[in-house]
Amino acid sequence: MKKYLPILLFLLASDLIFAQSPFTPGAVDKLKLTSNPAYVILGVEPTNIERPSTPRDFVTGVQAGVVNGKLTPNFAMEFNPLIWGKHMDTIDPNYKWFKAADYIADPNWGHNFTKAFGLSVATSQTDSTIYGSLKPGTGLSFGVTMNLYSTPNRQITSAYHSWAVNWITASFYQYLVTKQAGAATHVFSSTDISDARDFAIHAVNSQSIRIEMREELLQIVNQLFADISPKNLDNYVDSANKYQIALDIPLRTINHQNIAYAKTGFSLDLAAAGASVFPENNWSNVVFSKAGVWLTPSYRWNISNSNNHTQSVDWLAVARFTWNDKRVDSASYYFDFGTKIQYSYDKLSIAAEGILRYAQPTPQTQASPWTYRAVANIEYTLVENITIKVTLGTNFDGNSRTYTNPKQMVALAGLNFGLLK
Amino acid sequence: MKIYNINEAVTVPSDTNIYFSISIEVENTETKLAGYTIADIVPPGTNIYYGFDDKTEVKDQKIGRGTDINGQSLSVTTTLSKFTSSKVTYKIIIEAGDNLLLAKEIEDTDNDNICIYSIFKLKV
Repeated sequence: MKKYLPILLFLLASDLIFAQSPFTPGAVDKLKLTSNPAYVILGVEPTNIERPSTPRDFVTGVQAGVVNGKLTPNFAMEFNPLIWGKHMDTIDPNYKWFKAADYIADPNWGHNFTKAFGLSVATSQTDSTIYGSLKPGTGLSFGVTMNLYSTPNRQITSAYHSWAVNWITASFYQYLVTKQAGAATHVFSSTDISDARDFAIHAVNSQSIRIEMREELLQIVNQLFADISPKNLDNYVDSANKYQIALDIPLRTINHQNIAYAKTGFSLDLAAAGASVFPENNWSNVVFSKAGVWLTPSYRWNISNSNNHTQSVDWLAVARFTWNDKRVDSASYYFDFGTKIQYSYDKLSIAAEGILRYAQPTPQTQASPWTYRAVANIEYTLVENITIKVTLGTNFDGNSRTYTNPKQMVALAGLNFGLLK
Repeated sequence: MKIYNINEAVTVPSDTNIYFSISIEVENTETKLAGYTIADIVPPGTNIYYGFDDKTEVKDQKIGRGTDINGQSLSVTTTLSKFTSSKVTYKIIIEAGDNLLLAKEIEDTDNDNICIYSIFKLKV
């Protein structure tokens, strides 16, 4: 570990430099390259249970981790072809305008599925500890991850609804305030009321308002129009201010959801991956060695009490089935069941996870088919695309072919560097 | 919620068309905005502009020729809701061709919801 100390000190010094720029809530969660399933099936992922991260057009990166006592460079790419060509950052001139439907209150299963879909490819050096009788070489894995279900966040959905109703109502009255403000002697006519309605309808049809809400809001506008006449138009200035002020509470609630793209609430995600090994880096010796599929239910609580900081608690679980080639492992199948608790504060993330593994058939050298892995993990994001992580705990007993070192300690210090779009 | 009030007198040339522009800059580019601007020349109150329907600026909106708008007022209301807190800079300018007649700027960091009421009395 000592030989990596200068690197860590350099990185921490770098962070002090980068820290001059203000922290942007939500930015940290954009890159979690090591969470992709291709790394997990390769066995180079320090933690085994991850909540899927923010989908991007394309993310690539290098993970330098100490695996099995050696500094191992691992490379991965993750991409979402389903959103290629739809990236709002590049083709939509109005991309920076609020579209709550895009990320706060979108109940559309297809939209969420599209945004959370990811394909990943990873490579790593392989050794005989993880890959049994196969000679050291290169591992190549492919993975896919997708969101099966996520609950709409009721608190945020409700806040957005409240904001929209007050915003539209305020627009009606503010039209009248503007009309009167420049000419104190202006006498309101029914045309003014009609124009205020037209303006409010214009606001209803703006991008800030979900299409599904527009019918309800149009009814509110029409009710305002029906209830107000030039004769009973007394408190329009107070009404304009009242509805403006009423925007504050829902807006504050929404803005506390400052992990912009990483949803709070319940999420159920499916991942699958397969790995091939090229012993001695020889293409013709390729062995399809492992394949797995797993479900990850998770729940995220947003516990931020400030708009300037991201703070959340995640509970996750995993149920994973892994198939092994006989040359890799004497156990044909693994069944993993695990849970994880994670606390995140801005750039810092602290987690603990435990996984129980059942091997089938029972390895010849073992009395029990059960083994486990329990680790604690600390991650610190230096800048958006550089994350340092330290993992400490007990690992699985190798693979079942080398079940000779129960409660083998794992101590990993890794660095993830990524490029993203 | 913060309400800003701007009340200014602007001297305009008589034989030139007068224009106003509004721009909004948000320091944190992650911030999503919802906003609109209502502008009215009163009296006679027939010259209404709908602005900021999903755009960050209203550019070169014609108010009228100096002689025609003498004694009238430009009334502008802008409302902004910021989704994710950020400093926002609101700027409104009134010009006669290349001649800058007035520039007002408001910076707000603390409030996620702001409303700006402006009245510019126009006189030749």
